[in-house]
Amino acid sequence: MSRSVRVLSRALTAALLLALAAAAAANGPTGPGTGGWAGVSACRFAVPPDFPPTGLRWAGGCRDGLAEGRGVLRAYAGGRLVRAFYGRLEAGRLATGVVEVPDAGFIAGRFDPASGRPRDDGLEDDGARRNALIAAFDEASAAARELSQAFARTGNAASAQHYARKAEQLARQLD
Amino acid sequence: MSEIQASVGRGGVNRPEDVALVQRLLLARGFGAVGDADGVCGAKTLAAIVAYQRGFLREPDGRIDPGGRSWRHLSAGYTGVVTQAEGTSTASPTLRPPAEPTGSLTRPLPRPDPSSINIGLNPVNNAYMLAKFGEPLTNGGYTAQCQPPTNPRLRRNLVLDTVGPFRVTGLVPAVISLKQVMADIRVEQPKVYAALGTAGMLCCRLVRGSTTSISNHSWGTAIDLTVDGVLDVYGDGRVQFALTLIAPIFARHGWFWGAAFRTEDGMHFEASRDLVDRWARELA
Repeated sequence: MSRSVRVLSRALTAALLLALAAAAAANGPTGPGTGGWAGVSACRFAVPPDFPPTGLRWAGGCRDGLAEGRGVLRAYAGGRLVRAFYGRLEAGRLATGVVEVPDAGFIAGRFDPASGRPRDDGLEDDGARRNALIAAFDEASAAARELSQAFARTGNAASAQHYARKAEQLARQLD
Repeated sequence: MSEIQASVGRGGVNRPEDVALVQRLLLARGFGAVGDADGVCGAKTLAAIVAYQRGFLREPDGRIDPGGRSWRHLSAGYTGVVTQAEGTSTASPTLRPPAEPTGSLTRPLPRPDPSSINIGLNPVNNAYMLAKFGEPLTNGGYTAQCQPPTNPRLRRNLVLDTVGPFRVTGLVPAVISLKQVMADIRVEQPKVYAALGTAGMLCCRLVRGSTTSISNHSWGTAIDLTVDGVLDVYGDGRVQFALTLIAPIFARHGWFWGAAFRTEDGMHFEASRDLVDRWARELA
């Protein structure tokens, strides 16, 4: 292969890689364990593990085009709520809070941004481990309460009541 | 809970009704080698009785007598929950409990009747624990956050150790007892064993929503469990399937299941009064 062909080949390869990177950036940061990205372009979030890829709604803050701060991420399928996360997102990913798995229970704690699953902090001290869970449920309860208040402001009494009860349920989970 | 009317097993009277009851209980505890609950005490049933007895008898004798130790173990805390086999009627007396857990371990079941669990066990309360072990925080100051105990007697009797699938910090005799519980769960319910985790044992703090009551976790004699990383929902009147399978194992080691609390707490197991009483006498 001549030198000019090699240079052209390298340039084309570089251009292709740049294009792929641009496409990935347009869809949001990537990472293992996530099911892609969802949400409106001004407020994207990573689809958490075991959440359906569609029917997702984030009720919370946004920053720099990504979901950020305290809120509730709800996933619907067939008109039913199939998963919910109550707590904090950071740069569009689960950070601290509680995933509600209907007909199973709660998955709580701090979440690994790469996998979207509860991270193993290696906390062997029971007090520290439990304090992390307490903090997660506190965040979750606060998120549910804020959503309840938002529904109340829009006159949706039924939803306001539902999330108020959810806030109480999350607050009392841990002894 | 039905009672056997006569002995079952090696050299026993082996009334078919009694044998079938023992077979159902063995199947409910994961001893699938029994085969069918057919009321016939054959080699498989005898072998299953011996295997079950190995969990608590140094020399299994393959026999279960009414009111005897083996019967008390086998019948303790049995919820009576069985899975209906396809094509059978709920009125059928020959329903066979699953030999192995089938389906999701976290699927919710109705909370068992409190009178059918923790049989022979009494729960503790704050006053009882304070009398036996004293204040975990000698100067008070309990908050909603976990703190390490400052009570010198408690502190010198705490240990961080592995109890099978996870590590916990708790009162030494409680941790030792948990090791025995987990060893039995590993044998009798291996699928559940592999799925178990903990939401914590020792935690000195106030009970949720209270300004005066201390959590039973404060003395390192209570533990909350997860199944496949999932916490059972507090107070919804339902408990995860896996917890119903291991509650009888906890019960025969003297641990009280929180599913029986006025507000159901299915993830919670704590030392019963008898255990606490014994440990308090043993502690230095």
